Amino acid sequence: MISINIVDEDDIIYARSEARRVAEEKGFSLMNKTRLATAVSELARNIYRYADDGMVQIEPISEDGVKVGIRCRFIDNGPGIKDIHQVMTDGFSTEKSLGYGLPGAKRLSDEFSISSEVGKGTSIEIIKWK
Amino acid sequence: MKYIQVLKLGPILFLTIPENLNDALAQSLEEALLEQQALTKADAIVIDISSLEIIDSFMARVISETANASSLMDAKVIIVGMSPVATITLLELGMRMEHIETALDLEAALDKLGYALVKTKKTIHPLDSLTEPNKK
Repeated sequence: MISINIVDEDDIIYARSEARRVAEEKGFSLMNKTRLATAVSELARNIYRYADDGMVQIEPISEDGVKVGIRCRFIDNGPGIKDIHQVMTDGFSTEKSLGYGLPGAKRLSDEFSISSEVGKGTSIEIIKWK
Repeated sequence: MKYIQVLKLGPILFLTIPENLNDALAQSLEEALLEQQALTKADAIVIDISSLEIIDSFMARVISETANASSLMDAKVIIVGMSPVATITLLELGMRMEHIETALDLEAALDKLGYALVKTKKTIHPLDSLTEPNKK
């Protein structure tokens, strides 16, 4: 498993290129590699923007020894999200103001789960299958 | 910090968006372009994004804000070099980029701007032919 601390913007670039590299190693298609790298970029940027510190973990996984995928976790000790339902709603975020490309990152992933506690932090897990 | 170059070709300015752009660089890129635009009175801007492997919402914002700023300064802006993969990802992400004009390549961009590539043969006149009118 690869762990990357997200402190500055270059860490976002590093995290997404690592996700891309691992996807490449696992034989992902160009399309799925790009989907994963883009989702990682979005979620790592959220950590950079909203939390003082946090990390990205990237791990190749396998189901029944056949299905190959990559799991990424985004863990921060930031302010947390008060209304998860709201931030998961399209149009709440991205284009206009700052960040929270959560619905977009979810669409780019095959599996997506989020848990958050106000004042404690946020944890997001995504899986992209090959 | 990477160096940003804005290339001029007649009334057109060319800007390539580098890969792995950060906030500070995105800002200096926009400033560099607008400065050049004011200086050269360019009426068209071509922004090349072919070096971008991924376009996340940050990058999409940089592209549309830069294009918007140049439009406000009275230039026609065309984005070239969007890859099929980046396009699909961008749409899945939920970015629509509605006010952006694109062209598939530089040639198509020039065509949209009303310019065509014409090769002109340079003719070199012998020295005496130039002085000829004065002879009489």
